[in-house]
Amino acid sequence: MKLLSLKIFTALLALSLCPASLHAWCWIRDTGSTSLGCASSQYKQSCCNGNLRLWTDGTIEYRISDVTPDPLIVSLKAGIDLWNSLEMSSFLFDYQGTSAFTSVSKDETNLINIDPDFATRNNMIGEGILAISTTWTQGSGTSYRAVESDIAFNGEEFNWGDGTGGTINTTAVVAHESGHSAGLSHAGVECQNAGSEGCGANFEEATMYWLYSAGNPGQNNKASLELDDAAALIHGYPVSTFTVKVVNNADIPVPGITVELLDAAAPRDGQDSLEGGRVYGDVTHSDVLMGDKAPSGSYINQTPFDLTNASGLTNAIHPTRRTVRIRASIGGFSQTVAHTLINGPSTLTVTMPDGLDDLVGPLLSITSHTSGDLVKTDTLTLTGTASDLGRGDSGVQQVTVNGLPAEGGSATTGETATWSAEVPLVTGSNTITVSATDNATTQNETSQSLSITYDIVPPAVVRTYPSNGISEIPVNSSISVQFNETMNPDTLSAATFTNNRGLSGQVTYDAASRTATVTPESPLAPLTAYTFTLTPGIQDTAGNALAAPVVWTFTTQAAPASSSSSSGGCFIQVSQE
Amino acid sequence: MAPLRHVIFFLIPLLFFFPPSLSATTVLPVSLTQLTEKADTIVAGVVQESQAYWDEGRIYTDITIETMEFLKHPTPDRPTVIVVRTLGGQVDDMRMEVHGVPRLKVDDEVILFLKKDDQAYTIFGLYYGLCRIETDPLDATQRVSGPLFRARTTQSLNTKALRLNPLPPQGEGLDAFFQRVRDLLPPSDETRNP
Repeated sequence: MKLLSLKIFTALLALSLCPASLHAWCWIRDTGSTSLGCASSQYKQSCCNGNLRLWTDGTIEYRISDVTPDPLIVSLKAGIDLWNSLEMSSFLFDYQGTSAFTSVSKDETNLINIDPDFATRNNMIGEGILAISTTWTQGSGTSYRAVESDIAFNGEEFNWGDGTGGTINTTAVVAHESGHSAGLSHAGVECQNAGSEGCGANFEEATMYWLYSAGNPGQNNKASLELDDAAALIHGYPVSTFTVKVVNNADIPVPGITVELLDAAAPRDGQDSLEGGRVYGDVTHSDVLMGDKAPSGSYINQTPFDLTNASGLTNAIHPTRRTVRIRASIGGFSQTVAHTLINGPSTLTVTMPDGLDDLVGPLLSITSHTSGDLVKTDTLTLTGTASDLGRGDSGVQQVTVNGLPAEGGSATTGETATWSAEVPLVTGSNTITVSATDNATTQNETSQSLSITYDIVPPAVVRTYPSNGISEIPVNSSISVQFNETMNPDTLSAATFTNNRGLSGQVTYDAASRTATVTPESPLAPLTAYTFTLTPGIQDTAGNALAAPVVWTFTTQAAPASSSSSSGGCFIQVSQE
Repeated sequence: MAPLRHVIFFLIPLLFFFPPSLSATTVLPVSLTQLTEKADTIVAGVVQESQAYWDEGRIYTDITIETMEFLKHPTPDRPTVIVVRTLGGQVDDMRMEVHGVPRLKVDDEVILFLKKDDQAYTIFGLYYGLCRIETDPLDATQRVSGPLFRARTTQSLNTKALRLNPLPPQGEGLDAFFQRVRDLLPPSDETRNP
């Protein structure tokens, strides 16, 4: 219990410190793997989007090469069988006996081999390669499927055994590698720093964690699965899927209910042996995706249902255990129900008692502005609507903006209030709080806050490329400028980003780096001075224009000596000796 | 067999101190020193094209590199184009996916630590011998990064000991990396002072 508490505390602490960096397990996807670090944007696109690399029947029929020593065959099967023991996953590794094949190749056999000629056979002597795992796939998009997988261990340069006496733990390594064959990528966001790939919680004990030695100095605990591993495979091959609906006695969906999925354990061989992990389910609703697209900390006491869905709480859950408990709560009322899952889809309906009064605040919306807006007036008119419809419906008593009543901020039962308020602003950031209160005896309140920036400061240029006065600029260069704040891209065009040579090109704007770039349609002329001008027509998102034109000049290099400076991208300065 | 036994003798104890990072392809991290010494050719270049094909039940991809600068090469000639053979690739709708083996696309700028056997160049250590060059669009400065930089510790070829990787994890400037490699080359190597 202490260990569980420690893990939860650690997860919450880590989440509070760096909520964006924690993710759960990761799948291999049809967007491909990459050797880039996870930190790069390209990595994240490849890793966390795209269709899962699934097997059509959820089964890998595999054989072990008959050149593998018998004791190691036992170890290999033991490692692979770990995945078969997950009760809530339908995936199966099906052993078919030994094979005369020895090499990684597309031969309709899913082969595992501790190859005594590995390094020589693959011409990889002395390269430190312990194992190669290969999966063949067909199709793309939704038809993307794995069709064959081979794993070859380097039995020529390394000793395989049980992890003692200088041997490598065969069971542990094959459990990890076969997880890849099934479709799992690495767990562990720290792989970003190690040149490996995958994303996921830094749960070092996980078998799919990227670092073999992590979690236990003896390494042997990699020969067992953790909850992160289980949840990953179950995500791709769920035995059960269920939805939850919360209704009243008239079978009408009750909105505003907080619903929590309790119970974190994932049974293995009927025992809750994996309790204490960080992941306990998966939600497929696009707004609250779990798994490798959500912070793993959110698995703890999460509320994984779409509470704004008036038709019911319909997110599909892939539970990691057969029996789950659901807690539905509103105000001071809470109800917990247990649910035993069947194979396949099922629905759990939670019926709330009649005695519940109106315990939900009105539905409030702000229609005139969104948080993050920049304005250049010292007063704004904020407008929106408020209604208690479907939420107990005692009517809307009032809407306040920063504590002051808004005009039109009340409505009777069954009606919608259309409210407005004049809000004075100070220079810089302004936080505006809008609250709506209903007419229930408990005066239920709903609040929203938004941040509005009153911006009257003209934008400025941070730097240009090329810099002013620079010469010998490559003729295939683009011209770019970085601003000190977010700009209105509609004001960046050839008409406002001009040059003295009539050079035409596309003007693009990257909001993330606040950079505008002119990409010339043809190379710059050699040994030519170019003067670029940014006109005051260029504005920031609040509408503030440049205070004055920005002008800079540079000179291009002589004509290239060879064709090597083509658009392919020469990154080496050619010596002019 | 003596050299092989020698390798095993040293590598097995190393596994106690620094077990490898797991991957579908599992590779012991190597040092820049080791890579520089073991590579037959170290070259910077730009990917011009790639061609995947079947060979004995495997898919390989030949990557054509337009060479820009050699840091090491066994012969005086400096080919303007070399072809690097990589394991995995896609032919029609069939892919052979080898976790950890780099995928290169046209216009990628790279520094490769290559082995040469018979006809083909291959990347040393599957992916450890690949560094990528990325150019800052604003100031055109270029940085080198790759798995070689991100390994926490590396293995010294000369002492067989493990040491902290001296390379900055997030990569470093192109010129600094070139100089770092050149400093590891024997003084007699003609590419040391181009």
